[in-house]
Amino acid sequence: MIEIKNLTKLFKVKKKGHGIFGNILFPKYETFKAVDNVSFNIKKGAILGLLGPNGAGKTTIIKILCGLMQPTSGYALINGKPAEKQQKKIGLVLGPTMIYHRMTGYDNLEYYAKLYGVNDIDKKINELCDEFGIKNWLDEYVEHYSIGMKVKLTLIRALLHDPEILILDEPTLGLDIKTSEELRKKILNLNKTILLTTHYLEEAKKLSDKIIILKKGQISKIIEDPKNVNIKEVFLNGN
Amino acid sequence: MEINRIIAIAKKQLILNLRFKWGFFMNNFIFPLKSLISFFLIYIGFFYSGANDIGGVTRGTYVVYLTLGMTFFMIFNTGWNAIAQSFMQEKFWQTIQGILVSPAKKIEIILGYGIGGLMNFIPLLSISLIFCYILIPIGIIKFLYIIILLSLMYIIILGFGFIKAALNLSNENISALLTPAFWIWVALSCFYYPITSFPKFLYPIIYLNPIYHTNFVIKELWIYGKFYPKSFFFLSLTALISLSVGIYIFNKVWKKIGIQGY
Repeated sequence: MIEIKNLTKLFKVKKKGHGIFGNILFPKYETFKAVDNVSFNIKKGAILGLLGPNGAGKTTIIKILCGLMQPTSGYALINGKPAEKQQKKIGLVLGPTMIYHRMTGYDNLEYYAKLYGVNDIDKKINELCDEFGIKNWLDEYVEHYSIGMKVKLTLIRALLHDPEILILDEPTLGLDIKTSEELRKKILNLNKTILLTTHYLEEAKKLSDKIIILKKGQISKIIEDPKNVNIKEVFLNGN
Repeated sequence: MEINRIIAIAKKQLILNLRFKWGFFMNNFIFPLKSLISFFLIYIGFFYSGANDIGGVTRGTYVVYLTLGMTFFMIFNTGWNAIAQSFMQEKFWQTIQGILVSPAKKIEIILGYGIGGLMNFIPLLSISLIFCYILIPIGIIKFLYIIILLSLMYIIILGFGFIKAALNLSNENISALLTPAFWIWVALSCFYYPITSFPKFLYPIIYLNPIYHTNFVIKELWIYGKFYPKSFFFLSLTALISLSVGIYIFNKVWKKIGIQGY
């Protein structure tokens, strides 16, 4: 269903060591490989966990997959077609972003539902918000929500158009144990093809059917059966 | 093109703009009056010092001339900034990704943000047009033609504003360089003064400016009753070109660079 083939992304980053004026007025750049020749597939209905330290290239892969960034080389396909042209099939959660804090929860969801051409919007919003336990807060400005509620709202936002694929970038980052556990259960019960990035090894183990560990933009390890593997050991030792 | 999407974007813009009402009021009611008052004082000064005619603008027509000028400037300024400023804000709010990964087409985004911006100045626009109508009444056909020309002018500037929006997301350096270009464009559009204020060698450049053209045609029609039907075709073609160029450059810039600066 999702095919990532020879994906490479180069960034220009500032070179250090030219003095203050050199750095500000005439900066020199060098290339940095954020993603280096990465290939993998995700089958329909499977959950793939992308693990890796900060700067490993997880978010870059996600941004390429959803069309927010162009790869330097390689490609990302969904059902054999370029991923960037499959927006209706993707639900994206990039932490608690992509929600307007100055609008109410309901206005946010209604706006996105209309962008995605969702039918019976009111019913769909109420059902999902009821399920996630934020229905009573729908008429409140998002700026008054807790982080957990904001993440729930972004997840509902991503689910509104009933996408085939869900891309979750660190969905439980900064959440308390109870809310994280609640969200993990919800994610497991969604029955969708999911690409998940996380720093939490146990979370990846619990949720994923397959785990890919990234290091410095490259795949360092693929774990086909994460439930029966000591992820922490593999992650730390690279074995 | 889906109308629902355009309306959704426009509604979202209106909700965001009305979140803090005094800011909305000051930006959309007080700011446009600033230039109008300055030019009123200048014209009054000229007429009281004995001038009867300033490049065709007389004591009997200058109030309508300036009010229409303010209306054009308001439309021009909003068109230029409606998308660009919102994209800049949304870049820092981290909400811009939401629309960029959605199935919304670029033309829907332009029109959605455009209509959202239009709603900001509709009250003052209505007041200005009613005020001009009271001073110099015109027929309904002429009035409708003027509304069509104003809409085309707004679309033209929205197309160019979309380029600014792309640069606001991807390269704020180049985006900043467009600000002086905008003010030169404003100056060459002659909103508040006649073309004769400029040296003759600039006339050909000014004549090529579609905003000046709209400005000139509408003022001629409203104040002197002169009708230029061909302007509709010229402005429609320019609007089409402007939208196409805006979308083409947005896609090029956005795909090549992506979001930078946040």
